[in-house]
Amino acid sequence: MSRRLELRAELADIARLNDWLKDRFDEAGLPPERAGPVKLSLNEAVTNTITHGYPEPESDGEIAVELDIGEDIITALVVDDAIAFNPLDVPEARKIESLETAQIGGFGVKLMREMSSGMAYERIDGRNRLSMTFPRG
Amino acid sequence: MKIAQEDIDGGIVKVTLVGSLDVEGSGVVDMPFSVISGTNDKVIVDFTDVDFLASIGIRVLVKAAKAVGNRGGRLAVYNPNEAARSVMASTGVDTIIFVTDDEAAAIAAVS
Repeated sequence: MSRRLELRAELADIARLNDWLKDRFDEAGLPPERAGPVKLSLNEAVTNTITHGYPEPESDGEIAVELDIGEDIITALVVDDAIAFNPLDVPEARKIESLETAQIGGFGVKLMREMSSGMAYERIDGRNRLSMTFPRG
Repeated sequence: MKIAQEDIDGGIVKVTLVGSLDVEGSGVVDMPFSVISGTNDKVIVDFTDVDFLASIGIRVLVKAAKAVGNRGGRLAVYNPNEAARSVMASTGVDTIIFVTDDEAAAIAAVS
């Protein structure tokens, strides 16, 4: 069964996202090793949207998260009305190799790519639609 | 998220983190952790009770590693859970900080 959560485009709402995810994972009896990648990827996706997607910090952005925990596949969908942003177009962040060259941030999309088994992006009717899939078993 | 610090033998500062290093948690620890890493050369961090590490938490660790490392000091994290260890490996942050299984190994790494 698919469930939907609506968030405001405020970083404070990440806590609401994580509370909601915990309930969904508990409800489905999802073990931590399967729930962890989903939680991490959604945190990265929603944080990116809130941080970079809206020109005004106080803008009335709308972000919806849908989660479908199926028997074999878990599908997470993030729909928002932020500026167009396709994470699949973002160059892979360089892995840290030394103190001198280490970049401080930019690992969100890299982690989403590595934690999910598939990602797809569409821009429809002025909204970003990012879906990510994860194995259930 | 909670952060505590304690001076232990050998001029080492032990930092204990409890909670999630998500946006909210990283916001809480960013400033105190920056102060600790900006003023101490041997820092160990107990990750036992960190239940979640997102990229924003990696940012906190990289900043601390740079602050300590640029003065010739050392930073070690010990006992992260499997998920946190995986995030550290994916980003490569485990190449600029020591990631160990327990406190004794962390102390040895920074001494």
